[in-house]
Amino acid sequence: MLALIFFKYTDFVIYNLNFIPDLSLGYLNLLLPLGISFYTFQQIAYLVDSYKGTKKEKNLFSYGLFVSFFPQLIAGPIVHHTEMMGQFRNPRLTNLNYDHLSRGVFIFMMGLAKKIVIADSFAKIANKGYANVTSLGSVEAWASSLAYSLQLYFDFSGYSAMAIGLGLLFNIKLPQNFNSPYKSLSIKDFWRNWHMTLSRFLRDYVYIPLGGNQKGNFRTSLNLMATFLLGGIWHGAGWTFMFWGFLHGIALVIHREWSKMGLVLPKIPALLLTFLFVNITWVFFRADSWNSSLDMLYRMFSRVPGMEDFYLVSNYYDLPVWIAGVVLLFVPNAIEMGRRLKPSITYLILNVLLFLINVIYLNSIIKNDFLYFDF
Amino acid sequence: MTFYTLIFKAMEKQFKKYLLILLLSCAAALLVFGFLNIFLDVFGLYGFRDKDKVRVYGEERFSKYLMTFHHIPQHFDGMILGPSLSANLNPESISDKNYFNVSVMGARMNNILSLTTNILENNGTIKEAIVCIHPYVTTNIGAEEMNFMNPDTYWKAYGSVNLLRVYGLWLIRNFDLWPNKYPKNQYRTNGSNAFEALFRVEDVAGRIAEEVNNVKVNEFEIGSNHRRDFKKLLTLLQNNNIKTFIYFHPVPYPIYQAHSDEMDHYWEDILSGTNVKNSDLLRTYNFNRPEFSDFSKDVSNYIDHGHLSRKGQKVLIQEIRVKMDQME
Repeated sequence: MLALIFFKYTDFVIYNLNFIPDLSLGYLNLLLPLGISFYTFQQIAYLVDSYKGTKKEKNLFSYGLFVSFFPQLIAGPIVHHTEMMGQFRNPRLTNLNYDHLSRGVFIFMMGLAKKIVIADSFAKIANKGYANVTSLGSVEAWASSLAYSLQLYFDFSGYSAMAIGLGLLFNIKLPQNFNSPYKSLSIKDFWRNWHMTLSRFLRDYVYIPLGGNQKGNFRTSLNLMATFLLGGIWHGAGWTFMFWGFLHGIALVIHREWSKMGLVLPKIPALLLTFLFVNITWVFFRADSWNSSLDMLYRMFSRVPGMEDFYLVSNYYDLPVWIAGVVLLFVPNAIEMGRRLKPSITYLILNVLLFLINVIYLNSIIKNDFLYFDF
Repeated sequence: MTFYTLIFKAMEKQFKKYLLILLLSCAAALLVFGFLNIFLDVFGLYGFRDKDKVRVYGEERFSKYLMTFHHIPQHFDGMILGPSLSANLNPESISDKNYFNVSVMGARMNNILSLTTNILENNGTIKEAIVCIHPYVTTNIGAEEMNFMNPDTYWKAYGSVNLLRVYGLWLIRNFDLWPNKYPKNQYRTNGSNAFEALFRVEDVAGRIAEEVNNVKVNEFEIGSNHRRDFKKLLTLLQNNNIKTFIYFHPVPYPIYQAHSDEMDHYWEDILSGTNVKNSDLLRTYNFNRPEFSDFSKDVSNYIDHGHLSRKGQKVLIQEIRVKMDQME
């Protein structure tokens, strides 16, 4: 935990201390160790459970494998020791399981395609938009923010699917991390389907220990806020991330009160409202600074003409990919399709096509890193 | 044996067969796709295509760079290097020599060096080079987004998104599906880019007058990397005994007149420190000199504030040939 605080938050603390008059501390500009936020959380869960006495595992090899299991080491899913240790000890672990292999290959291919084909295509728009906020007109500001929402989903859920697929190749079942979150009808629903293993961790190790919903209405709201502020700061050392967490906390509190009144929105407005809210809050998550986020939102919600010599989209080569991306939001996701996989000709063709597309994209001059490697 | 075990075993058998077929199909698909691309040989990389059937359809940097591996160095006597200012020079009018225009839109000196290096590394027939110089080529302002020009790009010819885009543009151009944006014969088989119809502005004189005030002093600053690459380019051409003509692109006269000090200084500056001496193999020429001002004063030689019209190209190429002939 100290390592996480030191590497991730030292510069944030210095940034805030520098607001003290006459104080000008230099930044450390430390490189963040890959995946530190993920494996730190996993180990916190293990330590807490050991302290409580609910965990009795003391085998160093199993523990080491649990912490360093490579498919999910860098960007999750955040796994719980209870769901992993048993699998590591399974005597059939090293057996060839063709069912797992087939599903694993398919889910991995789907995840890879989500990342390198779809997320990276949206990334071109999002990166250009967020790098040139002051040049954006209203339409371009919306396009940039929507592109980032899609990029983030396909990037992170793609990585998670790859991890789950890889796990299956080793007969290890990793928990699902995304369940078509943009189809959610409420913010509560969204957090049940987005980064599910982080939500589970925050629920079990922050929200419930704080008292959960057992200590009255006001305290429940406070607990929710505290949990989401922590979730925000976990994602990044900055006030914009905190504010993003704050907005989601507030939204959950409002949703709770709304639900208590027994009011239910029709399906389509509920879906649109949830997506719109999530999309707007991603602006704070993505923008480089507070001012940049506010500028982006200003452009989204007022009539601002774009600059004449600025083109957010310089060609439409990726149009089929953008369409495919939007369609994929509304069809069964990679994990669902992996579960349904049958050794049939349809799946065979789909898998070969995915393989070919992935190889073609991997062999192309379009490169982008995984977003969640930064967290 | 329980019912469950029986079902499980049967499923395992099916999945085993499925996985085996899947792996074989993936390997087969990859091989078929790769060999298909080799067979189509759209960049003349493998020598399966007639020289006259290889041309750029789009993804210009990618395509022209791939052509430098085999097509250009094995089929042409000379090359024109430079940015868009020379990209539309049609070498057809050079009757005694078979030239390929390697110029690419937005090229900087590092691009020109990469293209030349690869051509000369694979050289079979290239003996001459015409190099277009302009402050744009050597400034650091407006850096390029992505570098297509490195040896790894070779592998993209076996199958990549970039290659698929070229096929797509081949379809669009060949069947004339989008003539306003992608005209059928925009790129000639000699590499020149007939972009005149796409770029031409209505009021050329007005556009030139407007540009006079748009030119900024820092555009004449030579980036240290570009200066180094220019030196390397000259050394490379000289070491390979390539007869080279380096020229300063004729800027429309009103623009030159307003910035003549910077322009003249730029030309001296770029040549300084390169040990350039006019010889049998190398000649430099500034087409902004007074004796060529009739050309740059004539608006009909331009299609905008810098790119040449067909008439202008013809005159310039003729002048270059005359000056190159004097080298012998």
